[in-house]
Amino acid sequence: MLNDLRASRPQTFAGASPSGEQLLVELASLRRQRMGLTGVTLFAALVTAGLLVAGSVRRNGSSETTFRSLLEAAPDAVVIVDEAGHIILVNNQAEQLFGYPRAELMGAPVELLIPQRFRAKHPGQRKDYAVQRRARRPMGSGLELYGRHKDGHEFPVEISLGRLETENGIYVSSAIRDVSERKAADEQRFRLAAIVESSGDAIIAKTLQGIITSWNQGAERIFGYTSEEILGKSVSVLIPREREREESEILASLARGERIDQFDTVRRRKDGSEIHVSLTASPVRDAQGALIGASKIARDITQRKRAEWDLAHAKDLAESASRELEAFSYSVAHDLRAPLRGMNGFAQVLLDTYQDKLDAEGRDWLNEIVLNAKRMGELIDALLSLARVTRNELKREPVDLSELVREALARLASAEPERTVELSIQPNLSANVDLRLTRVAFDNLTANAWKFTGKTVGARIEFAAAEQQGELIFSLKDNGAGFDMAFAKKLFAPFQRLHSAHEFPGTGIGLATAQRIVHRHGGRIWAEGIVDGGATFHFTFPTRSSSNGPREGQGSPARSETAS
Amino acid sequence: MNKTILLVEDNSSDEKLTLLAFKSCGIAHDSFVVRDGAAALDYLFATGAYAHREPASLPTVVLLDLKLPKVDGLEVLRQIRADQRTKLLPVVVLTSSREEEDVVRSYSFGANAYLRKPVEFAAFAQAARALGLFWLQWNEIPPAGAVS
Repeated sequence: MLNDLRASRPQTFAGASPSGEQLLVELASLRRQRMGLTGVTLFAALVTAGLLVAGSVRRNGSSETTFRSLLEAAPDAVVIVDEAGHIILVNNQAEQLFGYPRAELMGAPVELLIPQRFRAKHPGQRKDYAVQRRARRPMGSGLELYGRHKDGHEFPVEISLGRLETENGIYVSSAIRDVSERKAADEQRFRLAAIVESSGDAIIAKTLQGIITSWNQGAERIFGYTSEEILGKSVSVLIPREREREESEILASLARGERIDQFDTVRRRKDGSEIHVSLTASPVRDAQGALIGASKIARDITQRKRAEWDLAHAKDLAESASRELEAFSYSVAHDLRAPLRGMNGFAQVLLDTYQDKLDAEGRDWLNEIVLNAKRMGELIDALLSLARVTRNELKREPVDLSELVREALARLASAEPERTVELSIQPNLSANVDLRLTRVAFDNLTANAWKFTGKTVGARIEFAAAEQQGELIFSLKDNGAGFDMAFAKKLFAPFQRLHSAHEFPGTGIGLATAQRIVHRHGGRIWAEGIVDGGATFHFTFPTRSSSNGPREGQGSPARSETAS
Repeated sequence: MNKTILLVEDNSSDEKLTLLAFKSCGIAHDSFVVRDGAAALDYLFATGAYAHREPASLPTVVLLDLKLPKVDGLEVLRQIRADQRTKLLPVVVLTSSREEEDVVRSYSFGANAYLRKPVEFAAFAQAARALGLFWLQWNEIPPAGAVS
């Protein structure tokens, strides 16, 4: 019988009640209300039926059993109070819901189960209800109702009331359901709905036939249609004519249960203009897993597209500038050097062939021409190598810097075997750098050290590294001519020289090149010097380019940024 | 067979200096000079202005500048390598450029050597002498008419 009741079929309680007709009415009303408070109503009906039975309890023991089992089978808490508001009957669920043992509830005022702040008004409300005609209604329609647990915590409830006239007076039954979970689910649903509504993206639901069933404010903003205008219409109104096939393919994929992820395309707005969007569409299934439609998120990527175009344009410009520079370098290399070769060459030939016809002064002047042409050739070469540093792309790989220093110094030593220079190279210092560029930088730095120790007795060149504040700092130190720190900044400027060409020859490009190479790696380079006391060049090669946002390890001084 | 050097050079100063350098080692009279790429091809294939030439008589070595009027050096090199008659002809690229791309392209087009003209005449003369001596005196050239 209970199973039958759970299935909510109208039943007659044959023999269970002294007035069968009344019971039948209760169950019929239950059926009418099924669309609403089904469960609550069901048990209000049960209680009502039970009470009617209860009236005959004393006369019929088997009815007592039937009633009790009906009451206990109810999933809702049932509390029945008399006219004075005292609890006269509860079920197990009521004990559990409110946390009181049955003994504590029986005879207690029903206000015990109500939060303190509602208690004062409750007896009046209860009396109003008891005298009215209608047998049953949901309590406090439209109000938030709360129960109070013995431990003091409150919980949201739904209550259905039943009013019963018995031989012992008017009883009021209440079937109470804890709706905490449903409230939480509702809240979650409202929150999600609010999120969908407030999203800047268009969030659209559609059937698998492409009929729009949901349309948020983002969609309105992006496409220009209000939800009133678009609901029930086909998404094809949003598709530019030449992309109609695209949408049918999307719908076909969705119908196969496939997802479409960040598909960049073009859609049409209400005003006919086109808009770049990124689409993400997923099939939507019902609880049984059957496909019932699709959700689609369209993000306005006009800004991104514009940025992409701008970037591509800037890249084009940069590339064409780079090509121009390349062409320029090429022509510098070829065209400027050729006349120099002529000047130098013919002066030299003149010098060689007519040596005996020239006096010492004449030979000296011709020598000047030869030397100057040679020097200009060197300057052009240096400029070209400086340009090359900017042009080539960085190819980072682990490079043994100690080895680079050793090789560079070995080359310098073999070119001037008569010189004695003490070398000290800390082994195995490496960094993640472009090998070719870094070699150029080290060639320049070592050549610098080599050159400026040329007049030093007991010349010494050292290469070492030390960690400072989590950063590995490389140093190339010499005990040569040094420089005045007042000019430290000029050191790295192209063509700036702190020594006369007579003292120490050079192009003034070497250190500028080295600096440019270190900078291209995101590193720093600086110099310390004392006149006639040597120079030290410090530089860093960070593991990551600092242009990629904040450097890792900031704020955690313990982390070392070793370059290995 | 007469041993000659074909010098393809459009800069008259460079031409004179190269010849002066050859003269200093006694090989100047073995040189023939053309001033653009088209002339170089006509000379080698005995066409155009050089139609009267005996096509089988090839120079021992071609010294080829890259930047040339009409037909540039790399194109000259490509056509030399594409033709059965000149496929094995030694070609030395002699140019101002030290651009890596030029070096790589010259070798990949089949150059036998790549020499950058130094600004300094002393060095240039030394290189030209070494070049002339190597190709005219030391190097064994492929037998006439040989194809591989």
